[in-house]
Amino acid sequence: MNWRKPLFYLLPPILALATVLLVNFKTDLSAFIIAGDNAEEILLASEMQSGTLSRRYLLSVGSNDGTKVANTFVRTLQSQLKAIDGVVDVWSPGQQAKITQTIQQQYGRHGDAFYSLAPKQSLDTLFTADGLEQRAVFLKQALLSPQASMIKKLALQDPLLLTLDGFKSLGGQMQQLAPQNTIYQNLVLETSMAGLDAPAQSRIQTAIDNTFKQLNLSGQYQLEMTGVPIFAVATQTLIQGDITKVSIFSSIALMLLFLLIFRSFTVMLQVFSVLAIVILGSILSTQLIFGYVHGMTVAIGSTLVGICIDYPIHAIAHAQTVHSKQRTAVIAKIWPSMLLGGVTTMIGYVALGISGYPGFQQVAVYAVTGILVSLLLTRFVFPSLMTMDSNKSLKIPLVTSWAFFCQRFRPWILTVLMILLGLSFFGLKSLHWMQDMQELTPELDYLKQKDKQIRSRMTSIEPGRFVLITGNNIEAALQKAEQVYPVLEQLKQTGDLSDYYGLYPWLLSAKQQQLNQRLLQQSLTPDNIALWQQALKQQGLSVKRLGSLDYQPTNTFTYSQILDTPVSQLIDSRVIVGEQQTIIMLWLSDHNPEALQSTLDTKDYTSRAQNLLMIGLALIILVLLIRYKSLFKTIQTLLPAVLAAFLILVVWSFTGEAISFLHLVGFLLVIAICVDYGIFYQENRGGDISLTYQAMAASMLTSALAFGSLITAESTSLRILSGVVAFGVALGFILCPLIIKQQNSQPNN
Amino acid sequence: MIRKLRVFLQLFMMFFSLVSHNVNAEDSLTTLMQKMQSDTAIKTVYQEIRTLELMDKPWHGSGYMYSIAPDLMIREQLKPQRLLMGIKGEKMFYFDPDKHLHHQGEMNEENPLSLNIAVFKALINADEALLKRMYLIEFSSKPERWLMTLKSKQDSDSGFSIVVSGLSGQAADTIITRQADGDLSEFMLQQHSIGEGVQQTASHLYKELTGE
Repeated sequence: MNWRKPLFYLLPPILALATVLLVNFKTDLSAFIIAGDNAEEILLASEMQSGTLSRRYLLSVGSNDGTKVANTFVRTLQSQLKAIDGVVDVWSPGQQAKITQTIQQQYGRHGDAFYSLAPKQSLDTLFTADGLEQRAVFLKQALLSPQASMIKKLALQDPLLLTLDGFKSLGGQMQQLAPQNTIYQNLVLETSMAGLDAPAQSRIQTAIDNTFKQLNLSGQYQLEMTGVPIFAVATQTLIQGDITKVSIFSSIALMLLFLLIFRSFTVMLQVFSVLAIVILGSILSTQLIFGYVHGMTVAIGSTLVGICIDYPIHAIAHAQTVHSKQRTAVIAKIWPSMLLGGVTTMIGYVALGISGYPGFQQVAVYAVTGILVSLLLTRFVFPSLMTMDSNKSLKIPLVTSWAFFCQRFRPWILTVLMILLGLSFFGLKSLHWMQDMQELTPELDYLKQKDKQIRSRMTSIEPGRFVLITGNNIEAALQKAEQVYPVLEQLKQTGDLSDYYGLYPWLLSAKQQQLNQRLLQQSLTPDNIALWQQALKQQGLSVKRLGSLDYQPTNTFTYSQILDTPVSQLIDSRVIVGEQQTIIMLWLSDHNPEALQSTLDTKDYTSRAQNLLMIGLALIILVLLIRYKSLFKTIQTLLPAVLAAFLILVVWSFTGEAISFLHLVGFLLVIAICVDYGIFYQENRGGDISLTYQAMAASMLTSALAFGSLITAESTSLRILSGVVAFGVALGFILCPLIIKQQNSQPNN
Repeated sequence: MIRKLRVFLQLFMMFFSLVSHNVNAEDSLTTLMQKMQSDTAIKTVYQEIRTLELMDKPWHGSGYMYSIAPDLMIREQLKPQRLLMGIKGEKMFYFDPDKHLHHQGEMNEENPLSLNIAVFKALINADEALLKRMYLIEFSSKPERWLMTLKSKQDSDSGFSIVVSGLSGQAADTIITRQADGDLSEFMLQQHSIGEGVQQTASHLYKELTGE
């Protein structure tokens, strides 16, 4: 009794049932964005997924006729939005009253600690006859200004108004960024759910829209929204559409291709049963390891079909040419090549898995399981399925002729290829990295434009780029940040940075606060106090109330104390405090990224991608060296893959395409898949190179089609992957007979 | 003949303006405001004296106030140095020409600064609703003068008050603001001129104030 056959056909429905019952599918993006292998990246990832910045919406209300939006309307909207379940707070970014009050009440007491980042320089300028006279003039003007009542309270604690020194530069920034368009009324809305929790944020967005519509019955106003949650929901919608489209398209296309190549429904049923077991097994193993399966993993994992189908294709191609009794032996003969090919492909996926994207870790587990299952089924189950006696040889047009052509004209073709490659080397200089990862999602450009418009109406600044500063705790991170501020100032002076938004004057390290206090005390000499009193007299100010300069050093003003003030709204999204690490974000406005990277010793994330590529390649070389025990044979086997990858680089250099992390991912996959072709062609275990090359052609076509079907996706990221891999595998296949010379076997016509 | 007619018209306008701002002793706040209501641009000359705890002697300032219905008020301080302040709708503006410094903010109940400024807008634009929204109001009238005391709605016991008064039958001529800390600011107002010329000047000043 052949128990393998019924078990094989029973497995897909059993696994499908297990998948339906056991697998927890997730579609929110929070599981698919940057995470890392160190505390800093994990902290940053968690902030991006659920931090305050990611949980905030920027709402902008404008009128259809260009008139000003009524305050009463905005206040009612604000209070009704606060009532939405999941909304933590709604406030107007222009309402600075509470913050002004905090400056006077809280920072006023710490004026002697917060006045400067370069205290010696500041005090040297202030404590001169001119400096103190100018300060007295400033104090008088401030006391006569509309803010007089706040200034008076401040001056009684801090007669030199040192508190305002740090805030002067901030005032300048706010002045520059004051909204030009005053017809809009803006609100900031903070939710309790993670910004990337797309289903929850989708509900909030619907509730915001409904609340606005109920209030705006006359249709006089319009509401626009931006923020991380908006992008999260849009991206999720995009992904869901892509998963459905790509799955349907690739399945139908592969079936048709398969029928065309093998002309047998039975064979198709067998191979697609293998694929069903592979995919369902991969989903279940991913669930087992991670506790959930991401929709994106399934979408990218579906391309795995193109690789896993290779093994049964090779098995069928060879088995069909012999009697049914000999089939197990034939498949066993070619299996070592499949195993080696499978291992090299797995190396590629594992390298992808450790790239830092948690989603790709899932893809790696998914792929490794799939390849293993496919290899085992092909070797141990597939031979017993092929019971029908039929002698069919694959006849894919042009394949055998191309191999023959290569065999015959190898020296000439190789010479031409070498010349072309030599010339192409010069073009490689024009290869460049994608500076802005946003270019990977042009389909969301409409949201980005709206985001820019809305942010330009806001007085609060939330640029998309920042410098991250890490420390073991908040004090260490602040001290590091205080070393970075002067560097950013220098960049501003050279024009490489238009402005930056640090944490000073809101936050200052305890070390700097104590230094400021100590240096100020040293400057409060009787001579300097006499000069100050003289300056006060000249301006008609009260020497009795303002002349004593009695600055008593206070305790430092700490981060946790500041978080208890309204200022927390301004800084909490820029500080991420973890158990082991604290990260500070210094927001940047327009800047020259290269100048910034060279001046600041920044960590280059693209270098990790390059390193991964090199490690992946090195591992593949090692495995081949162990197998062949010959450097020449190893290089020869690898060369079609390497040249295919190189030619892709040449194409990018000529088209001027900017290379992103995703291009490298595709690049690595091309190498992993094409190395399989090299191995099959090099080893030719079936003994008939023409048949081996035909089988490879069938594999290549299915791989190219599986990856090529990603071109139907809306997401540019998937389309990039599609183009790179489909083009790469075709090239790798074409180069095999050209690079690898078969000694003992001539292609048959 | 035409010249005489123009002089007559000017006199008539001045008379009309005075009459329109006349208030009887029995007037309530509502009738006072109704009578102060004007669609015509008005220019008022003012003197300001501030007595501050942190200054040795009182400070003197002077300039003009402009009002254009329905919601614009501009104060142009000319002495001791030129400064512009204004309110348009619910926005407050500030401009220091010497320093080329523009500021703006929202006039609302949460902004303490609004309390000091809203009274001018309310009186000059005859905006009773604004007065009632921002302040607790006590209005009294005597045979010679009417008097109105305004306190903060948020904190009526803070010590902050604004006392507005005027001759019986006439618009406000004195505004005294006492801050919670005791600092005092006195404004003496006198209507200077009305009409299209005032409107043009005010429009020009508004552009300067907002930096447009």
